[in-house]
Amino acid sequence: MQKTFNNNLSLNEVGQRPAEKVMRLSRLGSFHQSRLSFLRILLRRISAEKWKFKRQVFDISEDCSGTAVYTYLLPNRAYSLIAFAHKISDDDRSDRVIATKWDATFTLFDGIPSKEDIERLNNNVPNQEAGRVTEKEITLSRANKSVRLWDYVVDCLSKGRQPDINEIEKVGYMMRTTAVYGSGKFGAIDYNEIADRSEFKAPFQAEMLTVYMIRAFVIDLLQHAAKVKNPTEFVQLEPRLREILGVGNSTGLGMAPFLINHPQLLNNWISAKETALARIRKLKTPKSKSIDLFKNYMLRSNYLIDSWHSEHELQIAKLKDLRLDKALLDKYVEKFNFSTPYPFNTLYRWAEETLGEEAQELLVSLILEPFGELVDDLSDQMSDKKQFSSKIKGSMLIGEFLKKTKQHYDYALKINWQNSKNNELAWYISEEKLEPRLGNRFKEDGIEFYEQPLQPGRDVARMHFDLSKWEHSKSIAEFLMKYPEHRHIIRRCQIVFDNPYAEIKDNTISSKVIPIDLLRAKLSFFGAFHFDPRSDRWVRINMFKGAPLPQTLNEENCDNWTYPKQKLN
Amino acid sequence: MNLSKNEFISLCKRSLRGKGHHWGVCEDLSNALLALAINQFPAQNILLKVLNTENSKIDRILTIIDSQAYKISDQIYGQFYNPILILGLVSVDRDFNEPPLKISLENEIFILTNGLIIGDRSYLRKEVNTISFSRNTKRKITKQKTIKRVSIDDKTLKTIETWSNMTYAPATEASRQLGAGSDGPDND
Repeated sequence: MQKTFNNNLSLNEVGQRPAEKVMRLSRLGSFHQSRLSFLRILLRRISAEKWKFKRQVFDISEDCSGTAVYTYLLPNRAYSLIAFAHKISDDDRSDRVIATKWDATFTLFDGIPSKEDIERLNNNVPNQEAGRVTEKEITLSRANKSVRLWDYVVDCLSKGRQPDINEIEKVGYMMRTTAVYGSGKFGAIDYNEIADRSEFKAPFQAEMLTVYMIRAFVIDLLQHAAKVKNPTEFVQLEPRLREILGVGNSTGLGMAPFLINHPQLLNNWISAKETALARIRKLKTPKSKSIDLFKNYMLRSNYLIDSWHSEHELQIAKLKDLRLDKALLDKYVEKFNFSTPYPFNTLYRWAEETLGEEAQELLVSLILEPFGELVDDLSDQMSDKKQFSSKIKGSMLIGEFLKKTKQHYDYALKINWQNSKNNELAWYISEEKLEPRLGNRFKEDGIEFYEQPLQPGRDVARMHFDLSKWEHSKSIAEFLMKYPEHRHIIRRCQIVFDNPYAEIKDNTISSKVIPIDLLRAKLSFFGAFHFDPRSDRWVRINMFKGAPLPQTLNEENCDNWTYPKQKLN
Repeated sequence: MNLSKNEFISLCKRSLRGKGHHWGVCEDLSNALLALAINQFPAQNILLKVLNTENSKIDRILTIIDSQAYKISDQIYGQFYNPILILGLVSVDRDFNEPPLKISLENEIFILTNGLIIGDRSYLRKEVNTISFSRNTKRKITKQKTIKRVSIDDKTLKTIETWSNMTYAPATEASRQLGAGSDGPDND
């Protein structure tokens, strides 16, 4: 039976959601893209600043290998995607970090490349981690085909007909990236060298730009393959089908440590989203235009949910719950009186009481959607230029530190760390292409020695055990002189004391941990949807699915595509 | 090889960890080494020296930033190994716009200002017993260039990497099966 909901709330009760609620793994693993997602921020900027898109080079041979260059011209500079297409055998195709060949490799170049630049990059980019790029390059990336869909669509186009939309929908992309490296990796320019450029003010903008341009290249390559197959009868892919195709992405464990290793950045992302939600919940009488838009997005989100498929038991269960909850939510919104004061607060509170986390988080994203004017400015606060250099406040007194530790890490101090189930997993890096892995410390001999510092809960508990024996009037500096092993966690705690969303409030090494929850949180901020876990530790997603292509992107359509306007099939 | 700052930091952190330094110590020392590197001090050689020094001797110099001794004291005494690291540590710890700070590592004077570390880049003392700080420097400060890439010769890089490699688990088939994506083909 549906719960009744008490609407007797005062405005004072409307604040940001507490970290204890938001920063749980299950909730982070239920996040959806929103208008504060990074690819959405990028598309808004491209269209507002009227960047010009140009295909400079398309030197692809009949076997579909070769080079292409695409350039975005900004008012004061240019960025070029240099794409290398390769012919590889099915045996060589792997999405894992340990792969050594890919269907296509890419770099984002700062400017317009010369022939010499392209030649230099041709000797390096196809080798990915085994090659070197320079400070002229911003990102390094690669992608693999969805073989089944690729062959099908090429076959259709070569025979002069359009592919079945249902077949396209089953996969949603023709190629999926398996890594997009940035910020100084493999010789590329450091992020802090370009962070002052307005186009890179929000996080991961260079990476999003890379993927967006890859999407344009993939469509050109696809059409080229069809033309080569049958030069007289082939047809171009219909514009609507082109837009439906996104870029896939396969993401594994490497992304999970990122969130734990960048607490300040994580805080800034979550804080922006929570601030946005709070701003809207505090609106006493939102404009009727915004309410109409919200209702419109509510309807359209059903088309998106309908086209979201997964074969993994975890996501199948979540999708089932989401669909049931969404039906409840639709019913509630249909009868909901938006002229009551603070309607979005009432709606959110009802959802929190009634729906599961997947649906609650979908609602959060939907609530943000009509309020660009109120929330888009928050995108400027999502970066962190100081990463890795947070200073330890050594003068802090131990008494104060202990008090704050209790306040922020209560969950960790309550865990029985002697219980092997709570301490079962260890994050480590393999010497095999430095692939991040997660193993059972009690079964894999010796991996504990290589354990990365990705278990803040346990480390806080260990530090707290030692610290609580000290006099409260002594300083943290004195404690660290005796216990340098706690230095990293002391620093982390001090970041968390000032930034409540910096910490994941769950045990990251428990036997029950689901690593893809961490991946999903990050990917939702990228702007991904259609999360499709392939196991508990890697996930496939889709980016830019439904977005206008660079040739048609404008201020009208740049933000109005994430929820399809009609049922896709 | 020309390393990006990010690569250099990562190399420092992993090699120091391979040497057995605690994670938090690795973080601070790596930032200090980067500060020295971008001011054109021979950071790779300093790193090698740190890797050849007993860990506990290195831990001691961190108290200078933890206790803010450089802000509240004029002189400190003790056994300070690899003292040049102190310049990097203090440089990172200071706010960018703080007034210039003069640090004397016994007879050698260095000035820290706006992220710059000015002084003899070939300074090689292994140990000092007295460090002086002066916040009223009248010395004329000559601006100097910082660099954006860290150049390391192949031999030094290889030596440093022998330490970093100790942080990676050996590649075994059992471990390979635990990697993300090991559970299915990618030709779909």
